[in-house]
Parts: sequence; structure tokens; C-alpha cells
Amino acid sequence: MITAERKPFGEIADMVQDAKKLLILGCGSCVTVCMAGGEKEVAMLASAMRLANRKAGRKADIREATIERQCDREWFDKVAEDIEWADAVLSMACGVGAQFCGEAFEGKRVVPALNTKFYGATERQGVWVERCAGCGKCVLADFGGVCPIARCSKSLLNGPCGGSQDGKCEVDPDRLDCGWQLIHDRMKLLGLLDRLEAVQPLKDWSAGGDGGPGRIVREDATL
Amino acid sequence: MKKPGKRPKQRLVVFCCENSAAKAAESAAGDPMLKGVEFVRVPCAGRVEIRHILKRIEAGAAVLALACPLDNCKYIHGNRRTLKRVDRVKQVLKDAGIEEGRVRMEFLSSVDPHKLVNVIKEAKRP
Ligand code: SF4
Ligand code: SF4
Repeated sequence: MITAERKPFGEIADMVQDAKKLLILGCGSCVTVCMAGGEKEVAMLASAMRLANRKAGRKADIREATIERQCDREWFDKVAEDIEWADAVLSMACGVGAQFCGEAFEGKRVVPALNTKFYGATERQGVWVERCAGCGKCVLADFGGVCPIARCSKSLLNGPCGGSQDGKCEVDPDRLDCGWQLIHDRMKLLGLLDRLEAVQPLKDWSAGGDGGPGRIVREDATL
Repeated sequence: MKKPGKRPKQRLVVFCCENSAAKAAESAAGDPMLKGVEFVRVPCAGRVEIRHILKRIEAGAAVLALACPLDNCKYIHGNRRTLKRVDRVKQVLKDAGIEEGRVRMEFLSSVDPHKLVNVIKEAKRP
């Protein structure tokens, strides 16, 4: 899933302080799972805004809604009226959803309530961890299923570096496992350790983040 | 004319776990301290969500969450979950510039009606 964290309240309040009619719009997919922008978080933020407004003597109407996804146009139909009504939409989706909402309703001011972080998994309840960097040409097969790009702090394809100590990464030994230690351990477990002898060639980064905004076209699915 | 300094009485909503506080409240029924208090019976304190508490505070009430003693939750983690949620609510109130004391949490067992009356007395103080 795409993971995110809510921005600090003060930053959000500053962004929407001039909106007299505010729609707080949650997203029912990834950010609901990582507990940043689902229905519950919408309710919490709306309460906080109403209480803060009342305390400051500010008058503003706040509506709450959550749709299945903000990265697919059709889900917006349900809240089109609320969006038209609002001076501003405070999107609690990831950066993709917040932008797409603004595209779907041209001329509407859409501001983000979240900081979008990474592609991650739920390690345990309340803890999310990065696993993929969306490089566009997956090389997991060569590394025992452990991603050298997302899990090595330096994204080394021919690791480890000299900073790997006791399974920890020199970038932040208290917090980070060395990705290359994990790759080594997994390859050993799979009986494929000898494959790490191979020198990996330069990676084609244009498949992912480089080379401008990405686009995927599935001809058979287009109309 | 309103007397200076006299504030309107704030409503108190008490979320009661039915395994402990709700039973204590039944034993304490009739105590004058419980007058005007709205009790909300829940199957476990862990059922009480942040939004439930905030909605009541938005409506002008103070909220008290009553759970079983720590390490004695029928559903294992319910009371600890709520304790963390209450902390989160306090943070929300702080962000909004509202007094954090509008939400409180206490732990008691079903045979503790005295403690129940005392914590309600405490929570009713402005
Ligand atoms: S190799 Fe690329 S696509 Fe595969 S997991 Fe790593 S970052 Fe993601
Ligand atoms: S210590 Fe390990 S994870 Fe950290 S940068 Fe070096 S090889 Fe990568």
C-alpha cells in the first residue's frame, strides 16, 4: 500500500484557515489501512478543526466524507455535491488522490492533509515498513526476494558497503537493518549464495522514477 | 444577572466497561454524585474510539472512560488501547487549544463503587 502520515494540526489549520466551507475528504483504501486518512481520521480531524474554530471564534462549516478511493474518477460522483459546495477540499488521501481530486474538479482548491511516505507493508499493528521504491524494473528475483533499492539505504546493487556492522546499517544502526545482510541471509537460506558473486550491471532507472512522469497504457483496456 | 465567575455546569459522559465500571455503577445507583451523569455502557473499554469521545466533547461534555484494571481486561488489550486513544484525544484537544482535562481515564473493578463515585466527583470539578 501507499503509506502516509497526517501533517501536524497547525500546518493543516494554516492551509485552510480562510475556507468558510470546508470538506474533509477521506480515502477508503491504502491510507485507511495505515490509519492516516480513513473515515476515523476524517472524524478526528473534523472534530479538532471544529473545536479549534469555536475556541478562536472563527466561523466555518465543515463537512466530512470518505470515498472508496481518490485515485479513481468514478468514486467522486458520490461526493460531487459536497465538493461543489466547499470553498476548499482538505484531502486525506495520498498525494496521488489529492491531485486527482483537483483534476476531477477543475477550479476547486484541494489541499493535502497527509504527508505521503512510501510503498509499505504492515509489519505489526501500528507499524508500517517500506518494501518497494517503484523502480519500474523489479530485480527481486536476483536478490532472494529482498529489494536492494528500497531496503539498502544507498540502494546498492553490488553491496554491502563497508558500513554494514552486526547486521545493522551505518546510516542509522539503531533503527535500520542492513538490507544487504538481509539479502545475504535470504540467499543463503535459499541455497543461492553463489549467485551473489555476479556483478550486477548498471540499472536502467528510466523505467521508474527517472525520465519524467510515468504512464502505463494497456491498449486492450482503453476505450 | 449571572453571578460573575459562575460557569454553566458541564455535562459528564462516562463510558463504562460492562465487565467492571457498569457493575460498580449499578451498585452505586442512587448516590447523589451520579445525578445528571450520562452513562454509556460498552462491552469493553476498547470499544470506545477517539471519534466517540471527540463527538461528546464537541457537544460540550466532559468525558470519563472507565475500564478494568490494567492487565485485567477480558479482551486482553482493550483497556490499554483506550488509554492510548485517550492520550491521542488529549493531543487533539491541545492542538485545538482546549483544556486536556476534558477527557480522563480511570481503572476500577466491578466491586469498587466507592472509587467510581470518587472518580466521578473528581471529573465533575470544573
Ligand atoms: S526491485 Fe524495484 S520494483 Fe522490485 S521491489 Fe525493489 S523497488 Fe520495487
Ligand atoms: S550498511 Fe547495508 S543497508 Fe546500509 S548502506 Fe551499507 S549495504 Fe546498504
